[in-house]
Amino acid sequence: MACSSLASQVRSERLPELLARVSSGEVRAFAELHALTRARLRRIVLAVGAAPDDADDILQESFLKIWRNAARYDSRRAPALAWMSAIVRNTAIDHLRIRRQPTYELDEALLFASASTASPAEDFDYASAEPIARAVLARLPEDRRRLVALAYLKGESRESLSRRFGVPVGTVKTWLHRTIAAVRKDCLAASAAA
Amino acid sequence: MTISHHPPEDLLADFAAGKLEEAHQLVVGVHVAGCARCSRFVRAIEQLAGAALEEIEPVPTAPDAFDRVMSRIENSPAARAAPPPASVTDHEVPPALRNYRIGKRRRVAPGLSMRPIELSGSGKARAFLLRSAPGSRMLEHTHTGTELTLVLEGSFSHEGGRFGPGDFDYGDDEVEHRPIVGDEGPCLCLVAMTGDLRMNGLLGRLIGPFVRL
Repeated sequence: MACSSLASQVRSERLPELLARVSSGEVRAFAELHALTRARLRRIVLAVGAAPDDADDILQESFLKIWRNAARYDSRRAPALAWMSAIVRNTAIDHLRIRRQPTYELDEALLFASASTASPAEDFDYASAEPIARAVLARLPEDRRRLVALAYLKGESRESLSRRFGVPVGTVKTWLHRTIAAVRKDCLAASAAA
Repeated sequence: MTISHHPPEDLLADFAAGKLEEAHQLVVGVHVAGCARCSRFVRAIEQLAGAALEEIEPVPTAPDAFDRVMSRIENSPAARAAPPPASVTDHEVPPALRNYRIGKRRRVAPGLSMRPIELSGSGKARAFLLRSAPGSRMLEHTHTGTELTLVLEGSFSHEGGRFGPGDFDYGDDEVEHRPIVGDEGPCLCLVAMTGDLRMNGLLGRLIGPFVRL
């Protein structure tokens, strides 16, 4: 687990440099950026509730925006993956809501982060989110994992989940709440250790 | 900058899942962008939820995924965006909101003014920048809907504590606020609001029982 975090950290540190090269039109850097980040970004698209069949389409559109707006990314203000994640999240939300007008991009919202939050340590935090998530997921029993997926990804209601799993609605709420609490606890523990 | 007040976890989880309406998404999103702890949490939820779905419904990524991206880029008519201009003419607008169209300042009450933020119009909540003069005290009020507040500059205090830059406050119809703005300078907040403020007390009845910001 430690090794994969270190590898993730090394990869994350490449991203600002790659984005700078993408902003001057370098396709090779863009290909590397795509390869390094697409799995993680795809999970964001799924987390927002897009159907798996639409995920590739949404990802393509997101990468198109990243290609076009790479010049706007400022590494002093935000970690690269956070900037890309915001673009992906908003593109996915737009796709689901079928707006008539495009959403103004929240990627600029990351400019709010002061210089102190955009330190290299911050990059490491993002890279460490994946092992935390996987560890929490691995500890869940399989039906609980399905529950999380269905609740957060399909937007299935608590009532419908309660019928599907044959447990009271209160139990569904408790399970989801405990899962979130476990994720939060692990995140805080990781940040205390860092 | 130490942030002590954060959005509740349910709100962060809904933000990660894209379930918030646009005004709420904006306020929570700007807080998350500036808060390492909440960023980490949102990222973990995203990766957790995405990984869970991948296990249940695996769809392999196409091997030519990058080629498809490039062909889409080549076939799309729009030119690449230029870097943003070096100077920004509207100094009042915080960097987080530079891509949004923000309306003219409107005076709401003595020491209190607001600027509406233009959204795509699909949600019920409105978003605006609220500026309060130092030391001013908001009239006692409750909400008919919900209100999300993110402090951008300055501070205010109420029964729930002191709220400085980056702090997030949440109010609904169960909360009775009497916020006081800090002395150090004007307080600038990003606010998402559904419903109206309901003014209590005699002054409220003089101004009008419901104030729409």
